[in-house]
Amino acid sequence: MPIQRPRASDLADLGRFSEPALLVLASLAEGPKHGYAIMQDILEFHGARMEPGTLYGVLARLETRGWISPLPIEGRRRPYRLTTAGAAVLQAHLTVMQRVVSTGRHRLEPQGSRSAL
Amino acid sequence: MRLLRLYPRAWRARYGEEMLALLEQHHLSVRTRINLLRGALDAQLHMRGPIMSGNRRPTVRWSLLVALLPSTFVVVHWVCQLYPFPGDSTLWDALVILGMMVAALAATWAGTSAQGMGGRLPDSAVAGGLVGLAALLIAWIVS
Repeated sequence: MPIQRPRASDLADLGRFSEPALLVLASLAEGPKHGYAIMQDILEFHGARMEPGTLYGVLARLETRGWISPLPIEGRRRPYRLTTAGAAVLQAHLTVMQRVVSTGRHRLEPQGSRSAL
Repeated sequence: MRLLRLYPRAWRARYGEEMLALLEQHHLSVRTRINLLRGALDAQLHMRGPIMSGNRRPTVRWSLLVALLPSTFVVVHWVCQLYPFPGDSTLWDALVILGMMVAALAATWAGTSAQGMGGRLPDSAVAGGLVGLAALLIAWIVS
């Protein structure tokens, strides 16, 4: 069976859930977390409050795609962890974002300071 | 939490308890309630079946549904040719063309809906189109 390389556009396939999915994947890159901890972490590093309906819509989609996997339930909470496939998709997306950021920053620089370089 | 009852049964069985635990720690603002309503609608539309890791079942389901729609209209058209409508037959033709247009729109919608749940637009639309064409070809050969 051919191995498909992850593409940054894999995340874009999630439509309106692509940005929240990126935030959830980035949060889980630190280690396994349950829903509330993911919401708190995203609020901390991104500043946006993700609502529960959106969070679970994202978790279901990421789980269906095999990018995250559920761990055994702890009390009433279930932690999730990033899978190898999920890490590869996140890495591919971040690489593209990094390129966009550096290009954008470079082009925003005043003409004079650019030519001086 | 009444709003959780709006989610499909399979969804509640899988995520209900942990979502409830989360909501107990979360301030239930109007925004949160609206978000849960939207989430329930999304789950009803796209996640009614069992939620399984890494599967592509929704794609298969949508593809079959999309494939059935054009085929149904082809069969209706074929039956109408065998048993002509008394009066103006162009009315029937117009209805069949309208039906095909609705089917094409439904195919696009279903493909878009399958996006993000392991499905992609081409999976559903191409499958629907191919089976529809096959049905058309069979109808043409038989008639």
